[in-house]
Amino acid sequence: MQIFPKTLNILPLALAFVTFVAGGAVTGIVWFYFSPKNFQVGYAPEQPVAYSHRLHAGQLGMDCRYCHANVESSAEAMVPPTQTCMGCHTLVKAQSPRLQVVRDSWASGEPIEWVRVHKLPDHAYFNHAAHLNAGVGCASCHGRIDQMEVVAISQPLGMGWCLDCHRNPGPHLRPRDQITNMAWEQTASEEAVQALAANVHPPENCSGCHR
Amino acid sequence: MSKREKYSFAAAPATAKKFWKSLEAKENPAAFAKAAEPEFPMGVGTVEDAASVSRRGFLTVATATAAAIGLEGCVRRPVEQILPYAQAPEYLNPGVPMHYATSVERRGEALGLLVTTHEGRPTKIEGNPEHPASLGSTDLLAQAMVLDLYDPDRSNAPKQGEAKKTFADVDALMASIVRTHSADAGAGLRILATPSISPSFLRLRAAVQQRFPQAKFYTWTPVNESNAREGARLAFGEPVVAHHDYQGAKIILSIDSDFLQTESGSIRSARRFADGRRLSQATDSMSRLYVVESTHSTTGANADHRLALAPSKITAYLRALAKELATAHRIELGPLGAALQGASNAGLPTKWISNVAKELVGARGRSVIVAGSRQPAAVHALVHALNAALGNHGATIVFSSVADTTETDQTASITAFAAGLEGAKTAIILGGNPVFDAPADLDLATKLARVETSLHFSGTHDETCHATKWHVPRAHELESWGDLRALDGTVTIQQPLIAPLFGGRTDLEVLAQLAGERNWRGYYVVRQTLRGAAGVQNGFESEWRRVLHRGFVAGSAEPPRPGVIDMSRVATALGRSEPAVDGFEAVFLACAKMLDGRHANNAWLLELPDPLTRITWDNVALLSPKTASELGVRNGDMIRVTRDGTSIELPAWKLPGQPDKAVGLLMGWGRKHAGRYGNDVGFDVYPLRRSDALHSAAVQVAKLAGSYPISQTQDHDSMEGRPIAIDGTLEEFKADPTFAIHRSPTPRTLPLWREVEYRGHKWGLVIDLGACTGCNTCVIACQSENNIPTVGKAMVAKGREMHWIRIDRYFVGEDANEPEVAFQPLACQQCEEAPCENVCPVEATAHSPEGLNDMAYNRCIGTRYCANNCPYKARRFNYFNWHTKNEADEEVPPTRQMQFNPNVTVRMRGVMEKCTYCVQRIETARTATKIAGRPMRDGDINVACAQACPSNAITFGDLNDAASRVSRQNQVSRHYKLLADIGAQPRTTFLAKVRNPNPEMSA
Amino acid sequence: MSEAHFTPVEEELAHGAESPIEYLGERNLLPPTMTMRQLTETVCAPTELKTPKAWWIGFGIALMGAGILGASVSWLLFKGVGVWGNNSPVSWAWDITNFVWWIGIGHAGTLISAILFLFRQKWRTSINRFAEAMTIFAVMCAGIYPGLHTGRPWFDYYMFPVPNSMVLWPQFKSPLMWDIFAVSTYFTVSALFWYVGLIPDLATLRDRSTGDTLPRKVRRFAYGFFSLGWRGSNRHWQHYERAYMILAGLSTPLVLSVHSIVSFDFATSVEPGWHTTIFPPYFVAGAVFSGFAMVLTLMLVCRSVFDMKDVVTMKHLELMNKIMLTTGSLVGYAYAMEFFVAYYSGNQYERYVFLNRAIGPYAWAYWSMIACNVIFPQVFWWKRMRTSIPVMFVISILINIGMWFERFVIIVTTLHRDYLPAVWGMYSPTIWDMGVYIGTFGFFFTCFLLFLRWLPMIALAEVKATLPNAHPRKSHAADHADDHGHDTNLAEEPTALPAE
Repeated sequence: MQIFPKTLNILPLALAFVTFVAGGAVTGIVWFYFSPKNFQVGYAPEQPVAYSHRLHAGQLGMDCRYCHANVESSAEAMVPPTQTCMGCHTLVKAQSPRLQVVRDSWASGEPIEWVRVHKLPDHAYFNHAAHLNAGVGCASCHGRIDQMEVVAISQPLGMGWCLDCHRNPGPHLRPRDQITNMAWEQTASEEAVQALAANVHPPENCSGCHR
Repeated sequence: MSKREKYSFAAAPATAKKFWKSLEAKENPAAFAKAAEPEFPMGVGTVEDAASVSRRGFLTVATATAAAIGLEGCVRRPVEQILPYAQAPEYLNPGVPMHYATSVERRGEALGLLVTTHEGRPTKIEGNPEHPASLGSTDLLAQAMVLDLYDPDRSNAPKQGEAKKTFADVDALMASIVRTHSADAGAGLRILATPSISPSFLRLRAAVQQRFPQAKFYTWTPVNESNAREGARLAFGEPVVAHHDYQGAKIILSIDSDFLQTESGSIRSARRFADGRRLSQATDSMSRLYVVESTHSTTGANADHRLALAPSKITAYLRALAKELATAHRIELGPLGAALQGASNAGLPTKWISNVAKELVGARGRSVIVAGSRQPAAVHALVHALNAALGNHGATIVFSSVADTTETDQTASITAFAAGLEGAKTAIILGGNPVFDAPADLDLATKLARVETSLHFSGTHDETCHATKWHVPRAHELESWGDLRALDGTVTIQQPLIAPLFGGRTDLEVLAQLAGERNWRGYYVVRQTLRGAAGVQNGFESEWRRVLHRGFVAGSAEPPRPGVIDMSRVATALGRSEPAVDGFEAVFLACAKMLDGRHANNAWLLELPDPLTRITWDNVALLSPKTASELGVRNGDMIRVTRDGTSIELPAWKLPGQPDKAVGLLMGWGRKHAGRYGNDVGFDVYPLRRSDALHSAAVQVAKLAGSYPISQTQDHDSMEGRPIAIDGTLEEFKADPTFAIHRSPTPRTLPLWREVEYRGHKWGLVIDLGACTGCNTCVIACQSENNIPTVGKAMVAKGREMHWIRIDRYFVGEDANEPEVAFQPLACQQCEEAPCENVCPVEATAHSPEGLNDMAYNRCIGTRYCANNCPYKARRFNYFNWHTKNEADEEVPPTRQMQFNPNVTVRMRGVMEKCTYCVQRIETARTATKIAGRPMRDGDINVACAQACPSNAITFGDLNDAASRVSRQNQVSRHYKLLADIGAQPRTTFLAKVRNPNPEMSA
Repeated sequence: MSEAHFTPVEEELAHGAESPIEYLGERNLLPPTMTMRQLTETVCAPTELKTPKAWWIGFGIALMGAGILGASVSWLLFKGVGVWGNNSPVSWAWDITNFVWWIGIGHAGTLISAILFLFRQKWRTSINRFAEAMTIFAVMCAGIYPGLHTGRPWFDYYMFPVPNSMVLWPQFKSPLMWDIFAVSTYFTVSALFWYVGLIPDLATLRDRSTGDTLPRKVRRFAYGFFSLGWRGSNRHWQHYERAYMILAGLSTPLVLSVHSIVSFDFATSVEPGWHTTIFPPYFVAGAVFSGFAMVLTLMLVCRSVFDMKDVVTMKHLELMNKIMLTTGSLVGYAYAMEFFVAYYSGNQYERYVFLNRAIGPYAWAYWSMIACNVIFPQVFWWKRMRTSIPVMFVISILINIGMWFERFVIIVTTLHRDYLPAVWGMYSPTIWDMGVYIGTFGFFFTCFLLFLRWLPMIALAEVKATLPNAHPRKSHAADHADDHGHDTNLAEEPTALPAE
C-alpha cells in the first residue's frame, strides 16, 4: 500500500536542489548582514548638543587636535571638556539657545552627556597615540568627519578590518604632518608607500590588541 | 544605565594646591557618581572613567549578547555615554596614568611609595626606588593597602552611638572639647594614639601639651618595638634604632627575630640579606644565617641552621652563648661576664652553643646578632653587649636616634591609659583598635564606657567605635597629608592620591584642631612642619615641589653612629630573668597578613596563603608534629588553650619546625566588626594576651571533640624527590657551579613544530630561589596589577584560587621537626614549545613573536584542555563570575571596581587566565618608546612581581639584549629550567638555592 | 542474499550448495520451524499491539530522568561550570569521563552492523538493528558533554570553521577539533546506516497497518513516508543492497577512528599516564567491550519482555559473550602493558602516576575497574557461564560499571597528581555532576523505549534472509503457504530469486 504517487519520484531531486539553494542563501545572508560592516557603519546617534563637525572641522577648518588635544599622546582621543567649548563660545554665539546645554554644564560643573559613537569592544585595546604616530590619519578610521553634520561610523571597525591594515599598513599610511588632513589623498608611488611602512610593524598577535 | 544607587563623594579640601587640584576637580561629585555607574545593566558594573573608553566588563556584555553571538561590540546596546570634565584638571591626560610619591608607616618605618592613579583612582602601589626604606620594593601589606582604600565597609559618616552625624557636628564637638578643657587645663583630657614617627604629629602633640598642660598622651600598638627601645635604653642610656648590615655580615644570628618579614624595616633587611647571598660564580662567598626562634617564621625558613626553642628557653640560650663567648673565647664583656656565671647549658644543644660561638668569634666585626621584638629588653641589651664585644658596632651595626624619644613602654602606657580613664572627662583615640587588641586584662571597653566624652577616629566602624560614644571616619593613608620619619631619619612626605572617599580626618588634623591651629588641614600642617624642619625660608615653594616630587626630603637622613655601651647596666638588667617554663607556652605572633588585625577586611590578604602553612582565610594554633601527636590531634582538630581561667578554642595545625610545647598563636584574626569579609574569620587570640606577659605565656592545652575545615592552597609538602625547587650546599656549588642544570637537564628532542625565531625582543624572567624569602609580596602585587579576583574559603578548598603567581613551599629533609624549607615562586613559564597552545581548539592562547603565550580571553571558550596540558598548572579558570557575584551570590561591591587596572581585561566566568608577563606594561612601554622615537631599553618595563619583590629575587627583561640584567642573570651558573625534561622549553629560568650549612653542626 | 553482487557465496549457491548459513559453517540461528510469517508477527507485535503497562512505567521513569537532565543543564548554564566539582588540577572530571564512556557504548552498534556484515556474520542480523539504535542514542548522550563542559557554551561555535568577521579559524592542531569531526561523522554515518536498514521493515509495517481508523491512517502515513515508497522491487533491492554495502564500508573505518581520535585527546598531551601510544587500540577495544556489554544488558531485558527468544537465541548471546571475553582480555592486556611501559620507561613521573592509580587515594576506583573489566569476564571461559542468562546479565552490567571507572581512572587519577606536588589536589563530584549523568540515562532510555515501541527492533528483512526457506532451491509453495495473501508485499519475500 503506497502513500507516494509515482509523480513524487522527482521529490528527492527537488529536495536536494532546494537544500542547496536555500543553504547557500542563508549562508550568504548571515555572512553579509551579521557583520560589523552592516551593524556598525552608519550608526549616528543624536547628541545632547547639535555640534557640527562639518562646521567646525570643515568650514572653519579647525584642526582635530584643537579639541581632541591629547590624541597624539594618549590612547584615548579625549572628548574635550566644556572648558574648551566655552573658550570660544563665551564670545562667539554666547547667547545661542543651541549652546544652552554647554553653558549649563559650564555653570553647574556637570559634564555634558555625549553619546559614544565609535566604540570598539572593551577587550580591544585601541591606542590613538600609537596609530597617529605611525602615520595613520584620522580619516582612515573615522571617514570624512569634516563633512558630517552628525558624526556617523563610516568604517566596519571589525577585527577583520583592523587586520587588513595591520597585515599591509603601507597604503594606509601618510606623512606625520598630514594625519589630521581629512582631504589627503594617497598620491605617492608604491616605493614611497613602502618606505613609509618600512619602520611600521603593526602587531598581528593576540596581545597586540587584547590583554 | 543601571539603577544602582550613586555614592556620594566628599568634596576635596578647599585648601588643596597644585598637586591636589586635579583630584579636587576629579572629585566633582556628579561627574564621579555618573562615572561610578556600570556600563552594563546586567551589572558587572565597571566604573566608567570620565572621558575614557571603558576597557572592562567586556566579557559580561558577551553573555548579554549571547543571542547575537560573535557580534559583541557590533550591536550598540546599551547606548554608552562619554562624560568629559566640565573643567579639565591640570596635568590630567585621560587614558594616561599618573604616578605620585607618597609614603606609609609600617612598624615604625616609613615606606616610600609610588602610587599609580588612573583618572584620579589609585590602582597600584609600588616602592619609591629613591627611598632608603623601600628601595623601590614594597612589602605584602603595602601592596594590599590599595584594596583597603576601596573597602566597601569603610565608615562613611561620623556617628554618635548609632546615630549618623556630620563633620560639622564633629567640629562643634571638638570646639566644645577645647572649651571644656581650656577650663581644667586639660586635666580630664586623655589622648591615645598609635606610636607616631611623624614630625608634624610630634610638633602638634607638643603644641596641644602646651595648650593643655594637664592633658595626657598615651601610645599603644599591639605589635610594637618597646622591648627593643627599652633594651637600647639599658645598653646605651637612650632609645636608639640599630641598623644591621645583613649584606656585609658573614655570620648572622637571629634571636627570635623575623627580620625578613614581620619585623620593622623588613624590606631593607630582606634586600640586604639577599644581596649578601647572591652567588654567580664558584669564587663568590655568602653569609651564613643561624636562627634561634620560638616559632617557624619566614626568616627561620631561610636559615642555614635553625634551632626551635620554646620562648622561655631562648633567653637561657643567649646567656649560655654569651657565657661560652666570654669563657671559651675570652671576648671582653666586663662586668657582664660575672653576671653570666649563672648561665647553664641545661636542655640546650651544646653544638649550637660551641659552634655558633666559634663562628661569631671567627667573624669578629663581620657578624650580626639580632634580637626579635618579642624578646625581653634584657635580651636586646645583652645582644647589644655581645655585638659590641664582637666589634660589630660601627662595622656591621650602626645606630640612629628614634623619631619619638619620649615614647615609653607601650604596655605601661596603655595600662596607664586604662587606669587614667577613671576621672577622665574626654578620651580621644586616634586610630588603632585598642578595644580589640589591647591587653585583655585592662578591659578597656567597660572603662571607656564610663568616660563622659569618648571619640574614636578610625577607618571602619570597628570594635573600639562600639565602645566609644563617638566615631569619626579617619582618612586612609592614601587620602592623607602627612610626614613620616624613616628609621634612618629621612623625612618622608605623605601626600593624598584622592580626596577621602567617604570624608574623614587625619590624626594631624585632629591634633591641629586641638592645638587651635587656624589652618588645621593636613596640607598646611605638613608644610608648616617642613618649613620649620627643612629650614628653607626663601624658595620654600620650589623646595616643597621638589620634595613632593621626590617623596622625601633629600639628605635628611641622620648620620649613623656607633653606640657607646654600658655593660654594667646590662649586667644589672640581666639579673632579673624569667624562670624557664615547662609545659605548654603560647607565643603571640604578628601575622604576616593581618599584622595586628588592621587588615582584617582585606580579601586579598585573607585569601593569601600563609607563607609556611599555606592556609587561607583562617588562623590556627601552630603545634610541632611531635607535640600534636602527643596531644593526639590531627590537622584541623579543635583545641582549647587556657591561661589561668581565660581560654580560647581554635583548630590545631602541625607546622614542621615549630618548637615542641610552644603553641603559635597568630594575632589579628577573629574580628567582630571588621567588615563583610573579615567578620568572624579566624580565631581571636587576644583574650589570652595580658599586660603581664605580652609575647609569650604559660598555658594549658586540651584537645576538644570535633574539627574545623581549613582551606589550603597546597596540601602536599614533599617534593617526592623530583628536581623541582633545586637546592644545594655551598660545597656542592663550589664543586660544580652548574649542579642545578645537571639535575634538571634539557633533553635534545626535535621540536614538534617549526621553532620560532625571536628577532625583536625576547622577554624572559629569571627567579633566584636563593634570594626568594617566600614572603608572598609578589602574589599580591600580581593580584592588584592584573585584576585578579578572590574566590572565598569554600572555593579555595575546592582548588579554585585564582593567583597567577603562587609560591610553592616544600619541606625538605627527613626530620619533620627540623625541616629545611624550599620556596618556589611559580607563574606561567611562557614555554617556547607550549603544550597549552596546541591543544586549544579555538586558538585562544597563541605564541607571540616575542615569545609570550598570549591569552586572548575574549576568544576563550573554556574547554580547560590547556590547563590539563600545563605541566606547571599555572593556568587559572573562572569557574564562576568572581567579579560580579561570588559563589555565595554576594554582590561584589562597586568600590572594588575602582581599583581595577583599566589596561587589563576583567575576565568573566568560563574563561581561562594566566600570567602574561604583564603584557599590558610591555605594550604601554612599546607605544611610549615608539612615540618618543627611541628603542625600548632595559628597565623600561618591569613586571609587577619583580617590581614588588623586596629581595630582588625576580628579574624581567629582554633576553635578546645581551647587556640586560635578565640576560646576565640567565647566565648565572646556578640556572636551570623547571621540568626541562618535558621539552616544553620554558622561558622562565630559575636559579637554584644555595644553602651554607656549617659542616661542624652536622658533625 | 540477492544477486545484487556476485560474491563467492552466490556463486556457490548457484551451484547448489546448502543454505547460506550452512555454507558459512553456521547452524540455523533460528529454530528450523520458524517461518517468515511467524517472524513478521513476532517482530511487528510490539509496535502494533496495545502498549504494555511495563512500557509506560519504564517510559515514565526515563522521562523523569530526562527531566533531571534538563534541570541540571539549565542550572549549569545559569551558574557556570563551577556547579560541577571540577577544579585545578582536575580540570576534566565526570564531564569527559561520561563523554568517553557514552561514546564507547556507542561502538557496538556500528561494529555489529558494519564489520560483522562485511565478514558475513549472519548471526548479527538478530541484534544489529537493536545495537545500532543503542549506538545512535548513546552518541547523542555523549554529544551533550563536549558541548556543555566548556566555560562559555554559547561560544562553542568558535570551534566550527565558518567564515567570520574576526577572520579567525579554529586550531586544527587541537585533538578537540579532530574529536568534533570524528564524532559528528560517526553519528551521521551510523544514523544513515540505521535508517537505510530500516526502510524495508518500515514498508512492512506500513503494509500491515490496514484499516481506516485515524491512528491506522497516521501509522500508515508515517511509516509510508519514512519507508520512502519502498516496493521491494528488484531494483529497490539492488539499490538497497548496494547502498547498505557502501555504508558498511564507510562506517567500518569510523568504528576504529572515533575512539582512536577520542584517545588522542589524552595521548597527544604531556600528562604522565596520558602521553602513551597504546591508547588508540586500547580505547577501541574498551569501547567495543563496553558497547557489547550494553547491548547485551538491554537485549536480555527486551528479549524476555517482548518474547524474542526464538529470534535472539542463546547462540547469539553466547557469541556476544565470546566477543566480550576477547575484548575484555585485550583491555586487561593494555592495563598490564601500561604498567610495564611506565616501569620500563624509567620516567619517574610515569611511574608515580601508575603507582598512584594502584595505591593512591583513588585506588578503590582502579581496583573496581580491574575487577569489573578483567577478572569477572573471565568466567566466560566456561560454556555454562557463557550460556547462563543471569550470569551474563550481571557481568554485562559489571562491565559497564568497570568501563566507566576505566575512564574515571584515566582522567581523574592522572590529573589529580601530575608533575608538581605543590598543586596536587583531589576531586569530588557535586549533585550537578550526578544530575547530568543520571539525566543522560533518562534521555537514553526515553529514546530507546520510543524506538522499541514504534520501530521493528529486529532487522526483519535481514533475518529472513537467514531462514532456511530463504534458500533458493526451496519450493515456492512453502513460502506461499505461510504467506497468507501478503504476496503483494515483496518485502515479505525473502529475496528476489533468479527467475526459473
